[in-house]
Amino acid sequence: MDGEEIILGIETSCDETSAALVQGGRRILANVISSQVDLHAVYGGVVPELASRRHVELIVPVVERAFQDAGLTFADVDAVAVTCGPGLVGALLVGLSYAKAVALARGVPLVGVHHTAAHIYANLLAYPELEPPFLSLVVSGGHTSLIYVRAHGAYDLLGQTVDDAAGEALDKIARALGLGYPGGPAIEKLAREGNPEALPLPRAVVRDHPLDFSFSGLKTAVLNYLNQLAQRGEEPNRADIAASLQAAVVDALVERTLAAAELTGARRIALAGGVAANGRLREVLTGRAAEQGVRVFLPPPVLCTDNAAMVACAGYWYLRHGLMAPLSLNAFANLPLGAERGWGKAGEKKTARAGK
Amino acid sequence: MWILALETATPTASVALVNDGQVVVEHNECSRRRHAESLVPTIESLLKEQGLTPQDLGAVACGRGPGSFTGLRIGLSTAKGLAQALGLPLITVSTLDILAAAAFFPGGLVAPLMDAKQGHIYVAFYEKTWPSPHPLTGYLALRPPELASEALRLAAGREVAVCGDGVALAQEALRKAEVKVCELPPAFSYPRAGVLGVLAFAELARGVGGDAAAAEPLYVRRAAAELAREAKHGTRS
Repeated sequence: MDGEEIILGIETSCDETSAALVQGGRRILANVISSQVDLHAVYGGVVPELASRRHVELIVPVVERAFQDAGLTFADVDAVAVTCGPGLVGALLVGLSYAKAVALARGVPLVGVHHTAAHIYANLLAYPELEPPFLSLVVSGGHTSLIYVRAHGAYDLLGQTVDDAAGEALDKIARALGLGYPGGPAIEKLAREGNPEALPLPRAVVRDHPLDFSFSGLKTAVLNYLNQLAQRGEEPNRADIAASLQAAVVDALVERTLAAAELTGARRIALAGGVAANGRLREVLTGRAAEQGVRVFLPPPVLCTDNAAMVACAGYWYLRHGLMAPLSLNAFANLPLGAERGWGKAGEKKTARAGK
Repeated sequence: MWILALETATPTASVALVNDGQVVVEHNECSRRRHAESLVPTIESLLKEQGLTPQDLGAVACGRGPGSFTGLRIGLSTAKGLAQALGLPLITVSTLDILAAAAFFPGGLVAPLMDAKQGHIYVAFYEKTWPSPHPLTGYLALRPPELASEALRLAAGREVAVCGDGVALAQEALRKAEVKVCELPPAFSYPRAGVLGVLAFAELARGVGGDAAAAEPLYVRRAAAELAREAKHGTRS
């Protein structure tokens, strides 16, 4: 390896079909993201069967476009990295089957990437100086986790949500307020005009697990408040509710993250996942961490959404550390972070055979 | 010219290498190994056995269903990846056409029947002409009684040869409707990639282009969520 390998990344875990070409784990040569938001909007959420059908239609043109953007061909690819879970299995299988076929066709290694790991690695694309160990807060519609990245591909789960993910709580309240789907950006926009202290909301603590999160109590409190107003025939101040809700979610995230930084002695925190695009979270976390002498890394919003560049970046580092996958790799609805180490051995054999 | 043929619409995953229209090797697997795990390693080992590399291939062929939605997507996504990465044409053939082509039954009709789950059967009716069967209908998803009346109408007194894993589901309805049925031996009951490869070779010889981007599964049935939404709103979206 000369450190300048070109990785083709493929991501189809939910409702974005994405393909990217990344060189040396840092240089994004192409990152094509085709969103299906319009397809699913009328259903108020992602419909797995429709998402899978759309991925099959889009995978070839999206990859074609990535090669055009990068000015490269398949012959330039040194490895293929693909999200293999967690996610919608039917959707994951489209990208995974496609990626395995490309790896076989070109005789290059296959790397299977955990979706959450890919989000964490988005930070390494944005900040080449960032290397493990560091702490990461992964926060999205499906995840809220505090992860200590010990080394490439080696993760310690320090805390996670015991019920709703942070993004899920925001989405549900947004729907109750009639703000549409996805709700996170709508809440953030509305919150700018509201008073974050207008509504006293609970900051739940999970007993005996100080680094875990719980957002269902918060969600229930807001929904109850809306019901009470409705019964009294009063109009809710939606901006105040959005601001108070956002403040409560951000407080919980920031407080646990800083506690985890203190516990692990981490001096660097990498923010990751869709909710990492939230302006208030970025601002409060950065400010509070600075008081403790901790630096916060914030990937640009485009790298916070589901995209294949982050998958290719993780793939590059996994490849460097021998974490290749066999061609029998399957897709998983649930997958523990770090499972990539388990299939490393079979992958090494594959690499020994591979030649361009 | 070597064609790699993949058929994954049913519980049997079938992979074949066909050279100039001749089936050289065919691998059929109906085991606990899932298609997602077994398909690409099977392709790799068949190529190796024949002393071939992926670069020796001239085309990729894939069964396009109907069948298991997930199975179809595994096969077609794999075929698309191979075709695009190697710059090869991708020929798709309906899984029902593959079954009909393999079913030898001079004179009468052929109707491959595939279990479509939820009380439905995928079917198409063919006149068994040589060299390839002539379709009398499109690709359908029918309940057994609808299937029996369609068979009765099209057969017009002739015998109908049936094959596939949907035969057991349709038997009762066909008997009640007094359709003259000839049940083909179980060797015809699953679609085989070797047959697909031969059909694909003929397609290529006819000058069919085989664009990997445009290849799509033949679902026949729409997604449950779409149907539920239409039922609620009374309109087609």
